[in-house]
Amino acid sequence: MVADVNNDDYPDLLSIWTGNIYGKDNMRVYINVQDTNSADPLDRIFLDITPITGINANIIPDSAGHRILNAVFADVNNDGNIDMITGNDTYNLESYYDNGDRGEVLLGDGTGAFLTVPDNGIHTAILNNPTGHSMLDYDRDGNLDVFMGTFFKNYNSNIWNHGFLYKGNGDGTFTDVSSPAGLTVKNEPDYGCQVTDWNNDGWPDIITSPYCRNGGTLWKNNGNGTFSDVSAITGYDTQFMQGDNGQNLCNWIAAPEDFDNDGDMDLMLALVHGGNDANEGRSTIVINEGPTAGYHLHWDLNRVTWDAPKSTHHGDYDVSWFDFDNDGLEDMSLQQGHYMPASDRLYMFYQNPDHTFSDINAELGFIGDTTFANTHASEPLDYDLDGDDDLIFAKDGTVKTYLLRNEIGNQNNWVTVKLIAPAGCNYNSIGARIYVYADSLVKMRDVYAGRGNKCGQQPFNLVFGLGAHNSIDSIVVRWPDSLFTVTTAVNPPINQIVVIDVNGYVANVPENHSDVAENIKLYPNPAQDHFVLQGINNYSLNGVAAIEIYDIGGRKISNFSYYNNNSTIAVVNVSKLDQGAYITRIISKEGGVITKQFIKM
Amino acid sequence: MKKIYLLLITILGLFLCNDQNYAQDTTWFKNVTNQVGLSGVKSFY
Repeated sequence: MVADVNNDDYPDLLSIWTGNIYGKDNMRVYINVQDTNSADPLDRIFLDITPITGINANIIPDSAGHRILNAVFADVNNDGNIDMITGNDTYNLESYYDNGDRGEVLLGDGTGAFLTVPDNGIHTAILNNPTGHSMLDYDRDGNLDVFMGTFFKNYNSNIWNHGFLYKGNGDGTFTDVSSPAGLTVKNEPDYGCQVTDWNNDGWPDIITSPYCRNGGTLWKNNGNGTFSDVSAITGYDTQFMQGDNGQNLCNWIAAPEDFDNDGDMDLMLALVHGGNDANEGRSTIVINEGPTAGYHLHWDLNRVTWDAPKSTHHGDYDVSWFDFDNDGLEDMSLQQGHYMPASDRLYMFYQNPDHTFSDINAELGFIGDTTFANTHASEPLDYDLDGDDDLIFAKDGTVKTYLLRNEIGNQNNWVTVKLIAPAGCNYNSIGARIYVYADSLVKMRDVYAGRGNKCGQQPFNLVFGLGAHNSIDSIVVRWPDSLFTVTTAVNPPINQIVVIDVNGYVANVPENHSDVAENIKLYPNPAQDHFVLQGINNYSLNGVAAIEIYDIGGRKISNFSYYNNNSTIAVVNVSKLDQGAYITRIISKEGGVITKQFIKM
Repeated sequence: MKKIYLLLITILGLFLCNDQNYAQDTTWFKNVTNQVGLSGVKSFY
């Protein structure tokens, strides 16, 4: 998963696996920082800060370690910091040994550290067996809610459960509203879930990914706190066609994206246990046929061309949309593994102008390279904020992580949109729909958190490829608030990270933006024995009266010292601090205060 | 003969102007795993 846990706009990495997926302490946090050996802010490294994050703290006193098998990240208490909801799942709930170590809500402090919320309402959710979480504000009240798809109650006896909707109370606690929302009328074994506004009515709908036994569900949000199953009338049925030898199809993700730029959300389904032969079901594009057809969904088995080598029995685990070359047409990466390791591989599908997709692995030189064989999950992310999405992916088998830097995307024009939510809207603008208009190009993307199996997640700041279009007419944002607020930003710049609030275009995010804005740069962060404060933009540190350090509990720390070697550099000795997150306050002689957060390693 | 020559030029032009130019560039993505400190990092999701 990818999320900005320390509020610097650079996406951080959150990985699940530390040797035994069924053991404890499964999750690790890697923050994305500038390589201190380089003066170029594009040179990034990922630092493992897991020991000081608290994510593996067990809520049960004296219990060691915490088991996390899935997690979703968003600001659930609207304090400006990314929080997380964790979950466990098991193949057979009725045989699960419940020792009280369960899914939880953890509130972030903006440095990468998290604290578990007692009595959060999610603690009991393990008893629902969630395999995926998707954030949404289903009633548009400004507080994020979460939907959970659930796996089997009893695998051998084929006993299923319904999905669960937890309403966010805005303080890190949640209330189960599955029954009044109408979601308890249908049981199914889900391997994942996702949220998008499928019918353009402004209300977030829920799409489940079933594990083989049924066709899944498209839950239409009625706008009054309830949902209706519209699977049959819309044609949402993952068992539409059977796979090899007539077996059922298992869906891990139905990834929404308006890939054909026609103004409605389509889907790409990654199906485990699909087939390759004619007339067999397989991972495929599902076309949203739009308002004139009642937003009916059409399974199009011929949009995607799969070149050799390909497996005769799919193990398609994940799919991610992103525009490789920023030509304005979303491409996609699909991960395949486990079942036929010799031929299972990562696929890069390039969208052609006629909206078909070509397998370009051979052209990219990926065929025959074991790096791209037997893969499992992926997320696009612009990790260096250079204007194109890169790709991080995980391997099946070796479970190693790889990062591919996009070398060509920003050769085309682009814009990255960062939203500042208005009052009454959830802080991360989850559910916001962004339209970019550039001459003949109209692109539409959703801000989301949690897709598919184990809650895939990408950065909230979305990259839009513009191709050769050298200006933007407007960017329109449909905010997910109770007023259905719409903002139009006229003629924002291109090839920038543009900030848009309710009034329109505000500013660009420059490189090294978080420090430039305050005229003082703090590095390295995390710090070992010292950190450096550097005045920039002609800011003189001679005007500093005091530098104070506080822990995240607000207690002032006194055992540090600093010295100025010139008017622009101050070195602060933090060697005696314990590992953890801290806040430093730089107080000027005029009484001004600049606050910065840092981590002591 | 002149028509055949023009036909060959046209076919060559269509080939060179094909907008699916990804086939001519194999450096779209660079593996920077080691460079960013993720070498050996275990991950499944």
